[in-house]
Amino acid sequence: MPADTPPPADDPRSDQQLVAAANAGDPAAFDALYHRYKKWVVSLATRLTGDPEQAMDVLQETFIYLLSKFPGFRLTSRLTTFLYPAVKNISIGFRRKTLKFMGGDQAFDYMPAPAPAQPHELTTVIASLPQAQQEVVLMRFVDGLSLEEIAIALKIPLGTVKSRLHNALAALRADPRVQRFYEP
Amino acid sequence: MPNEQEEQLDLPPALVDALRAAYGRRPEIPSGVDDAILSAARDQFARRRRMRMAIRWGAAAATGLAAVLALVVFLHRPLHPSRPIARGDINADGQLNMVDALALARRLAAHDRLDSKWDINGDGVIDQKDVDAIANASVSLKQTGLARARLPGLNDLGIGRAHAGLASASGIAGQARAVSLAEASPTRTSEGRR
Repeated sequence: MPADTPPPADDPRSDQQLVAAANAGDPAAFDALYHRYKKWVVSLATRLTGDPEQAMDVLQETFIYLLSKFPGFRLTSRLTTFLYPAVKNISIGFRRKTLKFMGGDQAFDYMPAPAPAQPHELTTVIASLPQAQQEVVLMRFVDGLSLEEIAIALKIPLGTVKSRLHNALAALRADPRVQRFYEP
Repeated sequence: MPNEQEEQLDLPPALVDALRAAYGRRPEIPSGVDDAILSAARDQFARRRRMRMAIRWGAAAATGLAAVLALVVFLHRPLHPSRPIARGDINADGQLNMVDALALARRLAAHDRLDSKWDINGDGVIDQKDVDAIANASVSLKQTGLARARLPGLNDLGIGRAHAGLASASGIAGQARAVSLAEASPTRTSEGRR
């Protein structure tokens, strides 16, 4: 790497600029994208698989998938919006393999959020929500996606996102276990 | 209504922080994982760069070859591709054959306007000797395979079967003489038929 090239993690270029550079064949641009989003991917994969080791496999698969999009990749929204369904589907694939290995043969298209390693009262409350609502709440408040980005990532109408979130928040507000967060 | 609803689609900051603390764990990524992913990416970028270079060089080579071919074709093109055979091609059809001899014979017989380039033997006069020269040349070309023109039939020459039989019976060797171009003039032909 040339001496004047900034370290990938500190690359000042925007995602759009990095994607354009990677499309032009610049491996440093892909490095920068990787370092910028690897922790986000691992965090999401850990939450979806419930297994930090499997999350590393998901991380590899996700970025190999992203790599396969170059050249010719067009970034039309934030990269997290593009990566979310990839991470989710890869995680589902890994969990399905694990379940088959363990003797389970149930098929599921939706990934329920497994309980964190250290159960928390809040995670119990979230787990009590319908799975579609859990996903929207976590995407909005943990992953930091906007409502529009959630709609794009989940390929559902924006109105459906709002409706799910509205119902989830109403349920949370009514839950006495989290009432303390609403007190002034 | 949507704005009102969106205002309600939020959580207290403390609850958001608590959610992030519960779910937003970011395990340390081993450097081996980083290396594996990034080296695979670099390999792929390098492979694509090589492929792009190969395509670019191939295209340049193909363009160069096409340019050379075009130059060769240009340099070897005929200067006057549509020009008829220079001397003796009376009807200017690009072929030298008995039809040209017949055409000149007819023009002579009809006292038509004559072109000076039809003086085939170069004696300064356009006459029966030039007709014979054309006939001889056309037969000679055919015998050596230099001319690919189809041999004219009797009908092409305007000669009936009776004339052909007469010529054959007279034992004149060679098609040029058997045709008897001088006799092939319209006057003599019509007399022969009569």
